[in-house]
Amino acid sequence: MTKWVQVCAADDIEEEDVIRFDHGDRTFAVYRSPDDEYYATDGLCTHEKIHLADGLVMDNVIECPKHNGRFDYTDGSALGAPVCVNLQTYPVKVEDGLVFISL
Amino acid sequence: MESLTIIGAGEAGTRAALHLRESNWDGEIVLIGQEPHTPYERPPLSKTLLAEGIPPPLLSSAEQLQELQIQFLQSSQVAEIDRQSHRLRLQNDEFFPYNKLLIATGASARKLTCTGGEHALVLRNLDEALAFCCLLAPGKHLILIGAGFIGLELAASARKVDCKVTVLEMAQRILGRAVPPEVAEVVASEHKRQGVEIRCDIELDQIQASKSGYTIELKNGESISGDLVVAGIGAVPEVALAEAAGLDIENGVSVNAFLQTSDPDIYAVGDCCSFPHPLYEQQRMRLEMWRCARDQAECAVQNLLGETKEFSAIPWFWSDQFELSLQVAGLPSFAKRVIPRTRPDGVTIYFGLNDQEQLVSAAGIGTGNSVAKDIRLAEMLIAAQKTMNPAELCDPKLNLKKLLKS
Repeated sequence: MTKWVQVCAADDIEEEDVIRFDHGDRTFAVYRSPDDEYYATDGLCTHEKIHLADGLVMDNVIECPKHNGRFDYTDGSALGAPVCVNLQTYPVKVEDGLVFISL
Repeated sequence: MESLTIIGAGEAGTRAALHLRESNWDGEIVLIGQEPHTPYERPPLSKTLLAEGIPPPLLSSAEQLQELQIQFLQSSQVAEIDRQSHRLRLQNDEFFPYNKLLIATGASARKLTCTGGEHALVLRNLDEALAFCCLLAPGKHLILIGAGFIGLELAASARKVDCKVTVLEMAQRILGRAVPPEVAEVVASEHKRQGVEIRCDIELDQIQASKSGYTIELKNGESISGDLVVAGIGAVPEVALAEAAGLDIENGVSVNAFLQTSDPDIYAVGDCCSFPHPLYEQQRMRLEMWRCARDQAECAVQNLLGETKEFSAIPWFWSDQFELSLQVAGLPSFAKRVIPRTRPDGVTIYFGLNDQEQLVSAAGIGTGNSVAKDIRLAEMLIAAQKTMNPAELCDPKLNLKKLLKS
């Protein structure tokens, strides 16, 4: 059975922004897109393990705050050097104003 | 273009080779590197390598270079660029014909000129960093000459391994004109808190070697003794080959807006070149910045492949010291006035405006990468050349992203 973990209130993430979510010994990045959809990926850049949540979200792209590696956070795909390994993504749902991710 | 030969396998040279393949170009690529290493990332040398012993990531593995059919010559020194016959002579007297040439020779550490200056180590490449690593040990007293980014990153790294650290700076304050004074002040007080002694406004007389280490004598008669002396007083562009070949030199290998040298078959990128910046009054500048090296490499490659792309990327760099990271976008030296914007978390971003109230720079320092989003947005605002309202800009409630999109 899918295990849903509560992240935060839907309003805690601004539109076109990202927050960091730590759970157990893992860290995730949870996004709210400009068209008000929610997404989740692994929290660390696949290049040098930098927290992506400190990076800038523009449209459906998250950019690593250190070396500008870019990913499409809706499907995790790496968009070019210096990143070449895709991000793992996770299902997200919003219920009663709360955001959950499935691990 | 039939083939491209690249002199220099640092960030810029290697990026150019990789970008050619990313652009699906299948001509011949020769990448010539001086160092006995597969191309690696240079920024970690003064940071994680020293403090945590983590070797720098590779820009490309030897296997990957082979797969991409990039002919990589390591430990190879070019002795001469023969423009007449379009060929290079290597130090071992081998000849390499070239079709188009990319000079990415980088910069080397500036040496101290005072008496005994040869006793000071410098840190620029992996071998120097590894040698330096072996010398650092708890309790050793490290004296750093020059409070620039390299010097201060080394100071922070050395404190992490429990060295005693003294930093000597000739200017009135640390970090010179690269960052606003307020940001330099945050850096200085963090170093002090972490036990680094920083002394500004000093005048160096000479360095003497003794049985137990080195003694630095200052012009005011004072002397300071330590186990190790390192100079971090800037870098000088590697222009010898280009100069001997008769290319125009002006604070680096002089290139035009398209990164082409005075010889149309030769381009230059990275720390070794100076270029006119269209967003900064066409002023000729040379930048020693990781991202600029990459951006220039990609721009030059596109031009070599037939485009006419002006290089106009906004200068950007970062520095990590202790748990703090600072970032600067644009050029603070072009600011006529500085607008501070203090966020609810206490971090202040310093925006620099020119006479037309356009953003020309933004600088900030905070824990981890907490300033990254704002600096990235500021960078895009600089590129957009938008006119700013200073009263609005200092208000942390103003949404920079909305401002950019408006």
